[in-house]
Amino acid sequence: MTSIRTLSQLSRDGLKRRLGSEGIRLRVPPFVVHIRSPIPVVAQGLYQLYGDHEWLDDDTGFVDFHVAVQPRRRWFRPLCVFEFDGFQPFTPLACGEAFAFLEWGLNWCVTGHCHTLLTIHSAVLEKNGRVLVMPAPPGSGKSTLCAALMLQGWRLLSDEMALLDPQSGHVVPAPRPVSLKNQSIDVVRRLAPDAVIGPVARDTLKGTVAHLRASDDSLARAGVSAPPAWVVFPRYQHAAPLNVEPRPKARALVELASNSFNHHVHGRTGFEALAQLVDRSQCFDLQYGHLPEALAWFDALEAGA
Amino acid sequence: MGAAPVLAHLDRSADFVVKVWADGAVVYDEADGSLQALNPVAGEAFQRLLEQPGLSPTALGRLLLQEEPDAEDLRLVADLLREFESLGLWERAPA
Repeated sequence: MTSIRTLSQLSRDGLKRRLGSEGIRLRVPPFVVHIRSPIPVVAQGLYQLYGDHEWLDDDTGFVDFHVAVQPRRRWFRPLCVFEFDGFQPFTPLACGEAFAFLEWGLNWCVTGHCHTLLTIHSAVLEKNGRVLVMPAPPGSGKSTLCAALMLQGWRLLSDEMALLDPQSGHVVPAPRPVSLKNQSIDVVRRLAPDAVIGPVARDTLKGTVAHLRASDDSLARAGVSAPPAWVVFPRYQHAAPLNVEPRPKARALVELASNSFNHHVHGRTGFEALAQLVDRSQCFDLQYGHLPEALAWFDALEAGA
Repeated sequence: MGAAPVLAHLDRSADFVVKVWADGAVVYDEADGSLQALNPVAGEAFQRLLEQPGLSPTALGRLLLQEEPDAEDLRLVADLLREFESLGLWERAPA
């Protein structure tokens, strides 16, 4: 049996050195990414959150995305830029946001360039071979729910995008750290005091941002795609009682399409893949104000109650 | 009662894909990638028109109702066709 090399086999200093020079090649399923950055918080984030990802110590293999987070200026509000193939698609951000910038930049790489799969802005988890798709706008509590479900034993496929194979209709895993914002960081800390949360970036456009490490199981089965079974549109409302309504399939399809980054690229095939996803899924609107109540509902849903 | 619109062969029928469920339907227009959500009866009607372009309103009403449509039914069918027209899903034949 061949064992893979993981990033955790590098020391923290070794990782920092490599990132600042030739960079590291990391398997971030289903992609391979080459990352460079001399900024310490990027090394810290990768060390804490990507330790179990495969480190490809071979500079000859194919790489999907060459990215870097580089310092823009050292003094007076130090800034950093995200680079993709040397191109800088975004305005600079504060250096303290460098790791979050890497995460956001990787999301952009996938949604902007991966068109063999349909990409849908959504959290995605799996349990017992059935996939839960949760599309929702920012502020809906999607990532908090996603993190809590993962900590409760659901397998994380992604907290940011569903990668739908239009041929098989299965969702392809892309497990990466879960992005937590503002109060949800403390919610998750209370829920799982031992959970690994990476660098905290404050005063970003999204408020305070930190990332939660993907579960071991999610990474171990990153090669295992699965068919969708549920589409749930969550909405957090402070202190609201749990309220679940079936969502008409037609409305679910239109909403999924509006959350898709590239169904138009696939034309008719893309529409049919989204329609098939809806066809084979139960669709719900979920309003929740108490996380434990929502988690219990998901467990009952999965158990078929 | 106004005259029902004359149905024409839908030249763009190949552009459309319609997905119908019991609780509604969605039409995809391949020409511009747009989606239109329709209520169940509109979805059913549009699917019939795609399957049989050139249906008269009476024939369409008959297919939807599985019985002979009365004047009120025909008015509702005409409303549906006007809705399809306003959504760009249907075009009348030039006179």
